[in-house]
Amino acid sequence: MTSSRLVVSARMALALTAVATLTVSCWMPPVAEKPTTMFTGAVPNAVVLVACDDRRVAVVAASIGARIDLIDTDTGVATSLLLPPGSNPWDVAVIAAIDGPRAIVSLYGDDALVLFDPCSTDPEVLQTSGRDTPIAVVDDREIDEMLPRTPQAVAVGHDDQGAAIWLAWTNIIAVAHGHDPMRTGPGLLTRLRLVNDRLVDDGSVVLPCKNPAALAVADQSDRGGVVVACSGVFKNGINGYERASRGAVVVVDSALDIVAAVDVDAAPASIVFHGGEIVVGDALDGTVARFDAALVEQQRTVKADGIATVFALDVVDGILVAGHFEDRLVADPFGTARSTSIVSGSTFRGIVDLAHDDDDVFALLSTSGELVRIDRHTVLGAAR
Amino acid sequence: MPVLTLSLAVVGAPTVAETMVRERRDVVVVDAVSGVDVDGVVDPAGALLAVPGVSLARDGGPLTSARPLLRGLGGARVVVDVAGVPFVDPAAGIVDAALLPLGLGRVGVDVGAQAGVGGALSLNAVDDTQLQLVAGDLGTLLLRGRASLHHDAGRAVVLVDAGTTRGDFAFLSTDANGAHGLALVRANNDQRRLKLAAIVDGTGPAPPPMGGQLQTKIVGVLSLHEGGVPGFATAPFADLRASTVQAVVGGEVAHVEHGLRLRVFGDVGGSDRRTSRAGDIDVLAALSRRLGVGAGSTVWRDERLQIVVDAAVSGADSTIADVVTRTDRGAMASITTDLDLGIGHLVVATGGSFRVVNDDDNNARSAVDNDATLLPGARLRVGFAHRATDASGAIFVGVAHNSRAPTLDERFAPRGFVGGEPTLRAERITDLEIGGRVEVTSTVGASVVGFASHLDDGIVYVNKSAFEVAPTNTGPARRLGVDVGAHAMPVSFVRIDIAASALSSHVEATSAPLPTAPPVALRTALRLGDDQGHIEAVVVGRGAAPSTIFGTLPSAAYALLGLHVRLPVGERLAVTASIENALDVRTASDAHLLPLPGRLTFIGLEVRP
Repeated sequence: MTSSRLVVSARMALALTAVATLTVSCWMPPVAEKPTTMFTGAVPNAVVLVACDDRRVAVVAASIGARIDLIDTDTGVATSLLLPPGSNPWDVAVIAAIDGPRAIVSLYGDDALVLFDPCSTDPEVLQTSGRDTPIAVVDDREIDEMLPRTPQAVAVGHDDQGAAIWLAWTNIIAVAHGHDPMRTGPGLLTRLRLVNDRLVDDGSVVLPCKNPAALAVADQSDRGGVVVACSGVFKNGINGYERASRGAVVVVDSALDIVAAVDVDAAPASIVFHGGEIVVGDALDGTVARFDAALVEQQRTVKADGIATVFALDVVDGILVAGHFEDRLVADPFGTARSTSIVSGSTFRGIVDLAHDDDDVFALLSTSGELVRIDRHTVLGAAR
Repeated sequence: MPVLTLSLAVVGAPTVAETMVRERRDVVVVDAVSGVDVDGVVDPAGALLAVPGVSLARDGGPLTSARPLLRGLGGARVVVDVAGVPFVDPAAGIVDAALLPLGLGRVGVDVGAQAGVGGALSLNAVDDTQLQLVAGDLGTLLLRGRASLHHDAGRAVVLVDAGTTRGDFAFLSTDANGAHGLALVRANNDQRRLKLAAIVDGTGPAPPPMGGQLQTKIVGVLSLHEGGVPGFATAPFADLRASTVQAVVGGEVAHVEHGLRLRVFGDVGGSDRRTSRAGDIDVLAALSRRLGVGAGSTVWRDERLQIVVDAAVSGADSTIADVVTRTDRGAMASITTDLDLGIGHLVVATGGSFRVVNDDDNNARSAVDNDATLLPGARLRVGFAHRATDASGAIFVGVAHNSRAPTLDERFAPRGFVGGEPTLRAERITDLEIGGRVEVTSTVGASVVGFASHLDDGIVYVNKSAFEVAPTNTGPARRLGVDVGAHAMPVSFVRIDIAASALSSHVEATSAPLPTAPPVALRTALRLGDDQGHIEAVVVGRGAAPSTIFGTLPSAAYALLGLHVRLPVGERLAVTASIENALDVRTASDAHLLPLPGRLTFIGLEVRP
């Protein structure tokens, strides 16, 4: 509401400026104000910015809204790709293709992926790829535990075969109930390729951890692989949500081999490369930790009181930015730790993802269904 | 002397409210209660929309939940009674109009804050016998029967109201622009409901050695619901089920002699709410007990002046227990007083209450501050009424301060995704109403009520963390608005009724309006014919309402047309037909973004012996 009023005020100011300018016979067309707040479907979960000719489009996966919103960040004009009820679009990645960019969204509720053109003003599903995804590795565990279920993280990287789409299946069989922890099979990781506008399976690997919630790819990686953040298993404890198992960080190379893995006494839920290190954000204690290439923990920020969550990490102008669910952005958390509260008020809206362009940082707010633009100087401040 | 009231006439039933008020308090009062007659309608909850200031948050489809919002406030803020006996979910305070025995016939609606923080619904029985059978789309079958038995010493009214529906309906999801429909089906939406109610009251000479008269009243209500929980419009739960049992038994025995009325009253109520998905996943069961004594009298009454006083003291306790075998308990002591005066055309009604609540959390989870919560309340309405032969008019000013303690569920709900907040403070409201009504002739009338309210410590559910939702006090909020009602019969067989409301609200903590509260609402009805045989067109509309506390994710505005026909077949039999959402709007959704069904047709039979 406040944002809307601000926009109106700014437009009024522009109109008055135009009138004043006309009086001195010098016409300059007013510059359109970029929207500070854009609205999404219910419970958005992930955002990626994509360049579409002269437009920049935010691709937003709205979980409960069962739709993917394509928002022109310069105008706020949006269109949507509507999905079946309960499909629960979860994470977004964008890959370059011959006919323009293609977006891939994991559908947590449908155990599937959806492929579409994010630059279309009337988007259509090009392909849905789901449970028929073959699992290349099957060990002696029960087959039921091995089915690819509940995909969450999706990321695009590159190796000597070209672009690779990585998909983490969290394989959740039942959510936490009462004092029983959530039940999952092992985490699974699948690699796909985009061939003639079709997603083609290119192998999978069973992860030595549960609940792989986030992926990071390093363009400069000589392995062409991916790093997985596994949150572990949760339960409803006496003091709220808590861990029922350890988390993990796992490195998988382009041969789909697990080349490094470490158990951590934490619940990593977000991950990013920064300065040659791997940085993870915790789902339950709000800490940010950094690991060296050998997965040795180097530093961890201070734990918050109660449950606190870092679902989003981004690197802006070379500076690490952590998006705390509690409506705070923290730039350079291991250094100056500059904190910016993105909204006013005593009830928070829940930062779940971050994206940035040349000028601004965008925070995706889960409970209010908003994509908020923040000037990057405000976020980075002296850390820049 | 003529009894003066300032009851604002309900559109279509101007005398019901006055009757109800007298039934409730047996005195002259000044109020802004509106009455609704729900006989003969397929959807009694929808009939509440005839009262200006009332809106509904529907889950969609026949027999699904319909939570009333009175001037934007609902839930535990709304007080409900059946013939004076509280019918309240003792655990969560949930008010679902589809669980209420509205088929008793008459519903008094006080949309202001004089009786409760969020208003009050008062259900009373019509003394007649009738039977209504309805069958319609989505496999919907309804049976509603009411029987009234009279004896020299009293009466008994019994209601049986049962319904079942397959429920699943088609709708269109919408994109960011509200367009681009994707054809979907709202599945797992079958519903079954059964409501039983009985009111028995009587008057007779008190047994010796007492003199005077003895008045007795016994009220019993049992409501059952079982059905699917389809959840959000685009995120259905394939197999999530819900069941609810809510019941109360209560009564009053009063001795009346020399104008003094001494009474003892009490009731026992309970609720059991379960959700299941291959076994119970959440159970919330509660029991409450209340016992009280009161005294009242008409202390002065002549041609010019009437003074009535009434006071009561009561104590109550409630207990909740959930699936993890923990028990929480709350106790309340309450003192209430009423003083009503009628002096010529001037009518004054005052009242006060003082309640003390103390809750215990018997879960070992954390230490809980068990300091008692004080809940003061006061109300005053002053009016001036005038009646001529064919016309009448009234104006009034009302002020009220009311409060409610957090429910046991709000304080002590088990941890999980939805938790409680033991340190919640009571909600408080200060309310000002200024209104008036005029009956220009016996066939044309209108009412206007403006209101302004200040809400302190409003309780709203928010995310406490990424994994937990819990209630919190959000600080101050305010609302401002106007409710307008009008009715006219330009000729004997044409009747027009209008109920309209405008609401502006602001919650400081979020800089947004009250969630789910529509800024404008309208119900207009055009009826050709009379009470016995008619055709009626009803348009129900509502402005866009935010579904979140941040004022975002609005549920779009809609206007839906309903057509109703009643065709008498003989003296005691009538055939009815209704088409709801006649224009088959498939994109309408209600306050929580839950879709509403497209066109539904119902055929019915009414028997009134």
